[in-house]
Amino acid sequence: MELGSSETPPFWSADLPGNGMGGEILHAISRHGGIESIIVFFPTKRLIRMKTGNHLGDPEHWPEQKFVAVIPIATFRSSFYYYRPNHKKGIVFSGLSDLRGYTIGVIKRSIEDLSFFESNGIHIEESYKQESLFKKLRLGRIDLCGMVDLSGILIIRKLFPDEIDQFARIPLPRSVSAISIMIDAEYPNAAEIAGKYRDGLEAILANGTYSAILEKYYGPEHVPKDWFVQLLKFRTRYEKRSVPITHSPRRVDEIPH
Amino acid sequence: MKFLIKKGIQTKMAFLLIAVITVVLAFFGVYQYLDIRNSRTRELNELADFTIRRLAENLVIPLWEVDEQWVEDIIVTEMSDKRIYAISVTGEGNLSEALKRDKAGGMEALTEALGDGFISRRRGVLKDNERIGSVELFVTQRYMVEALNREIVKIMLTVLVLNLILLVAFSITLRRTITYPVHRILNIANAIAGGDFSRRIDIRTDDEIGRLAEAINVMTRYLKESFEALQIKNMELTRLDELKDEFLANTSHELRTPLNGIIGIADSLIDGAAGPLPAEARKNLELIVAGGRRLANLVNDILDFSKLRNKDLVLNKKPVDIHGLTNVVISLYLPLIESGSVTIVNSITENTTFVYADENRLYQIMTNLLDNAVKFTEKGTITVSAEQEGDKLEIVVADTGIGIPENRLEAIFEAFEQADGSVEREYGGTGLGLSVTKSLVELHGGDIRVTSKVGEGSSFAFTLDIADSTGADAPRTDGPPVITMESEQRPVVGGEAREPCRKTSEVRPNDALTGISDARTRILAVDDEPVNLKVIQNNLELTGFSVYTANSGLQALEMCDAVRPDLILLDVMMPRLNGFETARRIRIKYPKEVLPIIFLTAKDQVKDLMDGFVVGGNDYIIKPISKNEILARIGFHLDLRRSQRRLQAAEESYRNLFNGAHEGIFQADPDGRLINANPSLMDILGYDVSESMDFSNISLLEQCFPDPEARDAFLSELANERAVIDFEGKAQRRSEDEFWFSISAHVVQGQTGEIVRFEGSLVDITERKRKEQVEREKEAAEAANRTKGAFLANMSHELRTPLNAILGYSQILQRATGLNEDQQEGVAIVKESARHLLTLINDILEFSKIEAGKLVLAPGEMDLHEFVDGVGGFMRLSAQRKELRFDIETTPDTPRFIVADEKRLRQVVLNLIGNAVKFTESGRVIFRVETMVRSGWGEEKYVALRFEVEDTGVGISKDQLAIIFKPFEQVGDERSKASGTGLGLAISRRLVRLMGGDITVTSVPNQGSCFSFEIVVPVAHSERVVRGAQVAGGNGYEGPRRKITAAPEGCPDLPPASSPEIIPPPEVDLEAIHELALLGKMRPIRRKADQLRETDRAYGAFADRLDEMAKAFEDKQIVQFVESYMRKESS
Repeated sequence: MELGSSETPPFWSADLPGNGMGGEILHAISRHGGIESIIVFFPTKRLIRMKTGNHLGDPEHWPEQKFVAVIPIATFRSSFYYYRPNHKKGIVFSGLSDLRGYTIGVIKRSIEDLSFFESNGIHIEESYKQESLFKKLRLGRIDLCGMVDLSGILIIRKLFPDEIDQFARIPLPRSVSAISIMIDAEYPNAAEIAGKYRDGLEAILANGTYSAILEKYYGPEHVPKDWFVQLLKFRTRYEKRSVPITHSPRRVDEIPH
Repeated sequence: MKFLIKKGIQTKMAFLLIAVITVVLAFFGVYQYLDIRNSRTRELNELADFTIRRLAENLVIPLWEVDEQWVEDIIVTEMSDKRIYAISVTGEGNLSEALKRDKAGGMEALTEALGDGFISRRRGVLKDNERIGSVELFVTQRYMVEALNREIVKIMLTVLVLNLILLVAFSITLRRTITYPVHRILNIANAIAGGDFSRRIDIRTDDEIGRLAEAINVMTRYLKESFEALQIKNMELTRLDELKDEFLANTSHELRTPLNGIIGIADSLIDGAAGPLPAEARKNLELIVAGGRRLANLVNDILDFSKLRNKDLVLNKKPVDIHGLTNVVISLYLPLIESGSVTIVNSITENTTFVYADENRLYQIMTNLLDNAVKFTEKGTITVSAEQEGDKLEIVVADTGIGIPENRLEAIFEAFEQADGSVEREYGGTGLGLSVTKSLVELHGGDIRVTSKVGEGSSFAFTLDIADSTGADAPRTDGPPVITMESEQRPVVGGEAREPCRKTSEVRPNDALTGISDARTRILAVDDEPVNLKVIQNNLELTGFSVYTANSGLQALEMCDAVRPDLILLDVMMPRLNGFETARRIRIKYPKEVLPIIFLTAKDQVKDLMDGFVVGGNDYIIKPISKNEILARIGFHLDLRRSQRRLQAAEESYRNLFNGAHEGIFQADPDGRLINANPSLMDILGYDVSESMDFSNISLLEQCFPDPEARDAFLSELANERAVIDFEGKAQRRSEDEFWFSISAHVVQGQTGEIVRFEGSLVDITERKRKEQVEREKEAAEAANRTKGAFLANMSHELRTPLNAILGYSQILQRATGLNEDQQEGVAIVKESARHLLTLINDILEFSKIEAGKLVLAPGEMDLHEFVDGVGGFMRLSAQRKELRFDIETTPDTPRFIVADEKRLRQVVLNLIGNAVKFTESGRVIFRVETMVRSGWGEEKYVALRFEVEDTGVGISKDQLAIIFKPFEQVGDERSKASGTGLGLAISRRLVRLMGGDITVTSVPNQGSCFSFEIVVPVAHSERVVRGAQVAGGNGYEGPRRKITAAPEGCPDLPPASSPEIIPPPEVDLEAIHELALLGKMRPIRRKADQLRETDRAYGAFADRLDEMAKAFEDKQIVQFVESYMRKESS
C-alpha cells in the first residue's frame, strides 16, 4: 500500500528512523493490521496539488478529494516560542495586537503576505532553517518564532539541551490539526484496507505501542495532555468525511503514483 | 684554473666565454626571479584583500542566521582556491568555524594558531553597521615558492641553452679565425721540428697570426740552412769516426801481424820446425817470444783502453760463478809461485751467490788484480775473498806485497800511471791495466777502491751486481781450467804471466788432433803476409798436416780445385780479393760441410764476425793466433767433417733401407698427419711416388680409417698400449680402390710423457685377404653342397617311393580282372602319368645332381662291342615301330674293352638315339662309333671314340639350335614335346662333359640332324667277362628291374627276384642308400631300412642286412652291398 507524504520532520521524514513519529505509528498500525505500507515522499506543494491517491498528513490540504477513509492517527499544533532571559516578564498572547512591536521569526516563504503583519506593527523576519530561528531567539534577534510544537521541542532539545527550560512555548489557539491516513475512494479494496488500518490503530492503542512512540518523541512529560481527546475529536470529524464506495474497484495498473 | 694552463687556446677561450655568458645570464636570471617574486607576492596580497572582503559580505546572512553549516559551505567554497590555506570565522552565539588545508590538499579543522609565513587578513562582519562576527583569512606562499622554483629551473635551462648556442657559434667563429690557423702553424712547426724543413705556412693575413706564420717561415729557412750545414759536418764526423775505427783495426792488424809472425816463427823454431837448436839459440828465441808476447799484451791493453774510452765495449752479462772463476784464475798463477814463498788463497766459498757480469771481462778484471798481486808480492799470502753487501758482491784481492804510498792511491787507476816510475822498469806493464780494470768494473755498474800500506800490502776491492737468480741455471766454472779464446788473446798486465796459461791449455788441442793430423790431411793456408804463412806452415807441418799456401784469394781459388784441401785457413784482409769474397766464391762449389773455412784476421768487431759467417765461414780466429788454438780449431772442424761424412753415410744407408723397404714406413703426428713416409707407403696409399709430396696434407689416420670408430679403436689401443701390432683394416687408395692393410705402430713420447708422434709400418694385405675370402667361400660352398647332396638324396627317395608304388599298383590293376573298359583306360592314364612323372623327377634329380657336382662317374671295364649291340638292339625295336631304318656303323679298329662309366654312356647314347627316333617320321637313323686316335705310353693305352647319331627327321632351325641344350627347352611339335621332360639333352651334354667331351650338333630343317660327341677313354688291360647288355623291354615301368611285391600272383610282367633271400628295393632307393653310404650317414640309412620294411615286407631281408651294417658303421660294406644290386639292376 503506497501512501504519499511530504518531508516534514519530525512527523514524516525519509531520513529519520522509522520515517519519523508519524512513520513509526503508520508502520506499527500496518504491522498489526496485516498491511504493508510504503511511504512515498513528495515535495509539499506537489503533494498538496495531487487530487488522487492515498495520502498521509493533514486532511485539510485535500478538501476536494474523496476518500473512502480518513483515519486520524496523530495530532499536531503550532506554538510561539520565546527565550525567557530576553523576556523576563514573559509575553502574553491573545491576539495579533498583543504582538505589536515584536519581531517574529518564521521560515522563509512560510507566510505569503508579510505586509499584513507589517501593517499591524509586527515585524516578520524570515529564516531558512528552524534551527536559525531558535538561535536568533536566543541572541535576541527575534522575539518570537512560530513553529509546530513537536519540532520546536526537538530543536531546543538538540541545540540547547541545557537551556530547555529557558524557552517558553505559547500554544496558538485553534491550531490543532490531525495527521491522518487518507485512502482514496477509487483505490481497490479501499474499505477492506481501511478496516485493517483501523484495526491496527486500535491494536497499538490497546497494547501501549502508540503511547511508547509518543513518549519517544515528546518525552514522557511533554506529551500534550489533551492528545487523545483531540485525536478522538478528529476521528469523529473525519468519519463524516469518509464516503461509501459506490462504484466497482479500479484495476491495479490504473492506480496513480 | 690551473687545469686550463695545459689546454688549447680554443678550450681556454671557450671556458672564458662560458664564464662570461653564465655570469651575464645569471644576473639576468636573478633579476627576473626577483621581479617574478614581487609580482607573485602582490598577487597574493590582492587575493587576500579581495577574498576577505567577499567573505565579510557573504558571511553576513549566515552569521546573522547563526548557521554554521552555511558558514562552513562558504569557507569551503572560498578555499577552492588552493592558495587560500585557512579561513576562520567567529560569530555571536558561539559560532566558530575554522578550516585549514591538510597535507593531501583536503580540509580539516583549524585548531591551532598559525605562525608566520602566511599572508593573513582579518575583518569584521557587520549587519546594519553592527558587528555580528569576524573572519580571518590565511593565504599560503607555498605555491608561489613552487612556481618560483619552476621559474628558476626554466631560467637556468634557458641560460644553459643560450650558453650552448653562444658557445657553438663562438667556437665555430673562433676555430675559423684563430684556432685552425694556430693548429696549422703548430702542425707545420711540429713537422719542422721533426726535420721536414720543406714545409711552409701559407697563412697570409695582416693580423698577429699572419705575422707569426711569416716569422716561422723565415725561421724555418734559417733552420734548414743550419741543419744542412750540421748534417754535412755530422757526415764528416761519422766518416772520421769510421776512419778512426778502420785505423784502429788496421793498427791492430798491422801491429798484431808482425808480432804474430815473430812469436809464431820463434815458437815453431823452438818446437823444432827447423831441426834441433843449440841451447843458446833456444834461449835467445825464448826471449824473443817473451818480448813479442809482452808487446802483444801491450797492444791489447792499448786497444781495450781505446775501446773503453770510446764506449765501444759491449758487455755480455749473465750469472757467473765467481768462486769457480777465481779458482781458474788462481790456477794460472800456481806455476809462478812454485818457490813456495807466496800462497794464493781463494776464500770465496762455493755457496757464494753468482754475480751478474760479462764472464770474459770479469776474468780480465780478476786476472789484472791477481797479476798485480803476484807481481808485487815477494812472499806472504794473496787472498781473494767476497762478501755480499745488499744487492752487490764485494770481491777483494788482498796481498802482503810492497804496498802503495798513500799519495799515489788515487793515481794508480789513471791511465799510464803506476805507483812508481821505477815499477814499470822493474815489474813491467803498460800502466793501463788498473785503468782498464777500473773502467771495466764501472762499466759493470760497480766501483773499485784500494787500501794499501807501504811494506804491508794492498787490498783491491770492487763490487758487482748479484745475479737475480741463484745461478742455478748457470754453469759452474768448476773442474780443470778452460781458458776461453778471448781470454787468451787478452793477457793481463805483465806478459810473462801468460805463459802458465798457455801451458794449462796445451794438452787439449793436440788431443783433438789424434788420428786426424796426418800427411793425407791437406790444409790450404791463405795470407798475403808471407810471415804469417810461414808461421802457420811451421806449426801445422810439425803436427803432421800437409800444408799448402796461397798468398792471394785468386791463387786460393785455383788451389782449391788443384789441391782439393780438407780445410782452408783464410786471411780476411788481403789486397784485390779479400778473404770474405774469396770464401763466397769457394762456397759456390764447396759447401760448408765439405770444405771448412777458418778465417784468420785481426778484425775483431762483431760485425766482422757476422760478415764472415754470412759468406760461408765455419769459424773465426782473431790474430794474434795461438798455435794451440789454431790446432784445436782445425782438429775440431776436421773431426766435425769426418763425423758429418759418417753421418751422411749412415743417413744414406738408412735412406736406402727406408726407400727400398717393401713395407710402408711412416712417421705421423698425434693427429695422424704424415711427417715422413717411404715410397712404399705412398704407393700403397695410391700416391705417385715420383711427385714431391707435402706429407702434412696427408692424414694417414683419415685415409686408413675412414670409419671414426675404427680410428678411435686404433688410437685408443695405441694410447693405452703405446704400441699396436698388426691392426688390420680396410681403406681406400687415393684412386678410391679399396685395399686391406695391416698396421703396426708405436708412440714416441716427449720428455713430459706427451705423445710427440707415432711411427711404424703398414703392409698391403689385400691379396692375403682375398685368398682368405676365397677359402671361406670355398668352405661355405662345400658346406652348402653337402647340405644340397643330403637334400637330393632325401628328395630322391621321398619322391620316387610313392611314384613307384603308384606305378606298381597301376600295373597290377591293369592285369586285374573285373575292370571294365573305362576303368582300364583310367588305370592306363594313371600309369602313364606316373611313368612320365617318374621320368621327369629322375631327370630333374639327375640334372640337379650334375649341376651340384654331386654326380661322379664310376668308370669300369666294359665291353664296347657288346654295348653297341645292346643299345642298337634296344633302339632298333623303337625304330621298327615307326618303320624307320636303323643302322649301326662301327670302325674295325674299335677296341672291345675300354674303361668307362657304362651306365652313363648308355644313358647319353640312348637319349640321342631316342630323340632321333622320336623326331624322325620317315627315313633312317644311323648310330656310328668310330675310333679316332689311339695313343699311350707304356702300359697305359687310350683311345678317342666318336659317337654319332644321324637322322633324317624334322631337323632343327638355327634359332632352335641355340637353345636345345638348355634345361627344359624342347623343339619340335607339341606332341613330341609332351613326351619328354626337356632335360634329356641338357643332362646328356653335362654327362659327356663329365667324360671329357662335348656334344655338337649339325642340322638342316626338314632334312635331318646329326648329334655327335668324342671321348678319350683308357683301353682295358685284361679281358673281362662282360655282362650282356640287356635292355629291359616290354610295357609298364621302363626303368631298371623293380620288384613289386604287391603284385598279384601270376603277373607275367614282373620279373623274378634276383635272390630268393634278399630282394633289393628299386634302383632309386638303391641310389639313395648308395649316396648316404658314400656320405657316411648311418642314421638316415637306418631310417631308410625302416621305411623299406614298412613299404614292403619283401624288402625285409635287404633292410635287415642294411640296418645291421649301418649299426656297425660299415659304410664301405654298405656301398659294396648296394652296388652289387645296382650292377645287377643295371645289367
